[in-house]
Amino acid sequence: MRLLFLIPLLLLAGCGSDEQSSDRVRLLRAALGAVTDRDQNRPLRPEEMGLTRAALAGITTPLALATVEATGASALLAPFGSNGGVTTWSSADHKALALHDGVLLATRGLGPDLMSSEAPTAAQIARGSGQHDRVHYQLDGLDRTVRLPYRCALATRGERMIEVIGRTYRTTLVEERCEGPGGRFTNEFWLENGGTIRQSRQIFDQKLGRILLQRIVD
Amino acid sequence: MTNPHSPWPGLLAGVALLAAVPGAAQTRPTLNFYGASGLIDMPSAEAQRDGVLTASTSFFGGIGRTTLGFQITPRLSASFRYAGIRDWNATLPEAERTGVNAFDTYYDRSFDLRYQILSEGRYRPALAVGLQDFIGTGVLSGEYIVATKHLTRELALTAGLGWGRLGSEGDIGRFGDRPAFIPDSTGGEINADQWFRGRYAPFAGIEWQPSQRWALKAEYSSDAYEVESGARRVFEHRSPFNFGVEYRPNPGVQLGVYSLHGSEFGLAVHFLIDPRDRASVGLVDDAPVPIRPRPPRAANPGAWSPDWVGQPDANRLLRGNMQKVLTDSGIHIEALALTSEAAELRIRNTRHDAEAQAIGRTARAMAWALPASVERFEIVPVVNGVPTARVVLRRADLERLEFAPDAATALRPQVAITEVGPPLAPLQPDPALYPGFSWSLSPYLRTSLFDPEEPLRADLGLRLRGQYRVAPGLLLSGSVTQKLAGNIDEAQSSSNSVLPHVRSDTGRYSAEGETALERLTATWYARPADALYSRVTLGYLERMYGGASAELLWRPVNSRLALGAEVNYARKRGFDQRFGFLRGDAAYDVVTGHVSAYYDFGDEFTAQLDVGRYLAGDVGATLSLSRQFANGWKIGAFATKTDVSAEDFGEGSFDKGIRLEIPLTVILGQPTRQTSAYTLRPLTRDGGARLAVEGRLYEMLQDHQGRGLDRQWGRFWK
Repeated sequence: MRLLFLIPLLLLAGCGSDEQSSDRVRLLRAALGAVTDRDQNRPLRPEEMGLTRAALAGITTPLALATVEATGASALLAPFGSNGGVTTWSSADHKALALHDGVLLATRGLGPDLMSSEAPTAAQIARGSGQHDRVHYQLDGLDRTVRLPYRCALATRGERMIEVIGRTYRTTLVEERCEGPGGRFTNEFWLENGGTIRQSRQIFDQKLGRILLQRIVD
Repeated sequence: MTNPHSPWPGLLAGVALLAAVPGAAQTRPTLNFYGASGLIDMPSAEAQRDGVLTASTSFFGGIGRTTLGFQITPRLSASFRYAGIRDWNATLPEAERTGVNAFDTYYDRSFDLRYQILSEGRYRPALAVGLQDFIGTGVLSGEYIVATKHLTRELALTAGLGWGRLGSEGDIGRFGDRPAFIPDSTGGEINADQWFRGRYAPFAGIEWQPSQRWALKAEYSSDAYEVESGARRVFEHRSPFNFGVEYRPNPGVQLGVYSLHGSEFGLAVHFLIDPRDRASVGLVDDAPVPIRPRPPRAANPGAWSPDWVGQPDANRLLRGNMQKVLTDSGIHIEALALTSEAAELRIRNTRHDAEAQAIGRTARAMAWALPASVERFEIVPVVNGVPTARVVLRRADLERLEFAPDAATALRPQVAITEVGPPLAPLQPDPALYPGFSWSLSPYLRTSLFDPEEPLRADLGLRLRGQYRVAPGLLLSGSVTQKLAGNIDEAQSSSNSVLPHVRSDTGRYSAEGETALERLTATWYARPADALYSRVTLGYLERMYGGASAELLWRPVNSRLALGAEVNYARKRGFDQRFGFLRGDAAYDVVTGHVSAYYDFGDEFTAQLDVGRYLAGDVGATLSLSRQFANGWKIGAFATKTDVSAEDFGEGSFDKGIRLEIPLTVILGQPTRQTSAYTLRPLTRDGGARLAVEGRLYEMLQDHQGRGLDRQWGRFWK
């Protein structure tokens, strides 16, 4: 099927100075990448980025590492803006996550983005028990907002020692199990003593699954 | 929490209950050899999912059919088909091989309509009525009433009654007389006088879908193939029983192998496209800049001071800062007007198929760069220098709602979309935008379809385009083409049309215009008053005509109705498509014009009625109906009837066709404003032909006004 799409695409090949021409080149490259699965701009895996504590030593801006579990693609994120307690973390390749004290509220630049959501607060998660509603808002193929409601329960899974880029943290693992008409998923939060979310796995899209988020520089 | 592993057994039980509701159709509706919902050669009463487009090709015993189908509404579907019958004249003596029998393969176009009267219930079968090949010469003509009922989740029974060719095998009675099929007739007329007339015969079949991918079918066909298996001996019809196995490797493809009529093997391939699905997972683009909230006024009164507005450079500096943010999004600032409380930004969106997304990104750039005292954002999309609407937002709403649940829906009631009106303050344009030049070089493909000699002809070449924006609204543009390969020039070497050859000389234009000046025009767009738009185009307007064209359109921002008028003077260009026009006997010029009404029914359906004078000097009207999906897919049909008689028009009797527009963004999953548009006519003749001027106003404004903005409002925050 993918090859079928190539036929109209070849007609798009071309060059020029207008936006449509640069679009054409961009789209053709993307399409060829999709067909051959060889994308030059593939985001790097963390080990390929050469991320070590030594390399991070001089860095003073907060940094987080995000990995989309389904694709293994990683990006380093830094805070770019903040509004009402929600921080927008951005990568150099223009992907962004909106986090409220480490809890994912929205994504941008990832394709089937989580446009907005109703999610528990970090404090609620830190309590490690109880039930709550969660709602995700995404766009369908007609750009209509789709409301995906979930009913969720929190449970504490006990202490976990985790390693984040060569540093070990003592954390408590809290699971958030959610179920709704759109499917089910489990988010995981590794919380430090003070309630800081050091590491988490949070879903943003039913198909692409969860994002592994690690705070690597505070 | 005692059992975190299944916290909501009640909810799961509810889902299971829903899935087990009886009566609902459980099998997927499959397609038959006619590309219609059905069994093997026979139809069923099923319907495809609303909005699904299908492309089918099937072949058996020298008979091939290629069909485009569209489920127009949940109950109504239509098909356009091109069928070929090989060895058409093989058994005829040489002397009789004239007229329609001159071809060894007989090609014919046909249209179908089907309507599902009843959907399937618990005990009630689905019931549908269909007209097959209801316009045209009628070799495939047949009508039917059919019922389908699922006995189990996997097993469906179908039974029906057919007329015409579907009533030719084992007929059990007759309703009046049915005129015989005459291959030599002109066709094109709606053949209502024969619907449900003549002999009728029952047909039936069974379909079993043991899994998501496989289907087994058996049917008793009521089509005796009298023309094909009779004297012409295209194939031998031995039995009315057909059998088949179908496989669906994915939801978009259906493949089938069949045993047909006791003597032949058949193959069928179908593609199913749902315009609502994006081919890739979501739309991948760069993240926008976040909203930068202003500091609290009490804490930082200095930041809120309106004194900046007196700075002589303020407009230029702020415009530059916003442009920096917007360039990555393919948005250009045309002009900026400022007061200490409000800003009007006029933008040209070159990338986003959803104007709402361009508006959203512009609002973010304004929140990023403008001083705190600016509370009201007024964004005016501009197309070809013409402002189209005014979108007014409050900055505080952006700050408040950026991360709100369902932020797009929450924001919309706070936003006003109005007529452009006068500017907020004196506009300062970006001096770098005008004059501006852009060019592109790209391949082109031009097709000539359905010539009985050679059904598919095509030219491939290169097209060089240039555009010079002299001032806002004033545009010089042109394109030059160089043919590299192709065979359209073999077509219609001499047109037999009795009308002025306004379109039927395609072959000559293709043959003599290897290197051609396709277009060279000066266009002036303006907005003489609110809701009123105008266009004047001069020059070489299209391949075949040069001249002048003027258009006026009344289109209020939030109105369903728009009205337009166009008047053109067109002179036929030389076949070589350089600067000259045809001289002597071949010289031709004409004044054409139309008044048009456009109506948006909501629910994706739109209609357009044009009444006026066409290129051959004929007078009449064109009705176009289309379904436009919010993501840009557009599927429509049009028909033109003028005072040219069916006889003078020639084969086809009147001009008609279908239009398909595919937004490339849904295929590629990246934002682009590019679309691929195809117009498919069973025949291109000289009656009911219109001038093909570029940049007509209604289409130009389509995405940039109230309803176009609202359709994709969900993209505001993307």
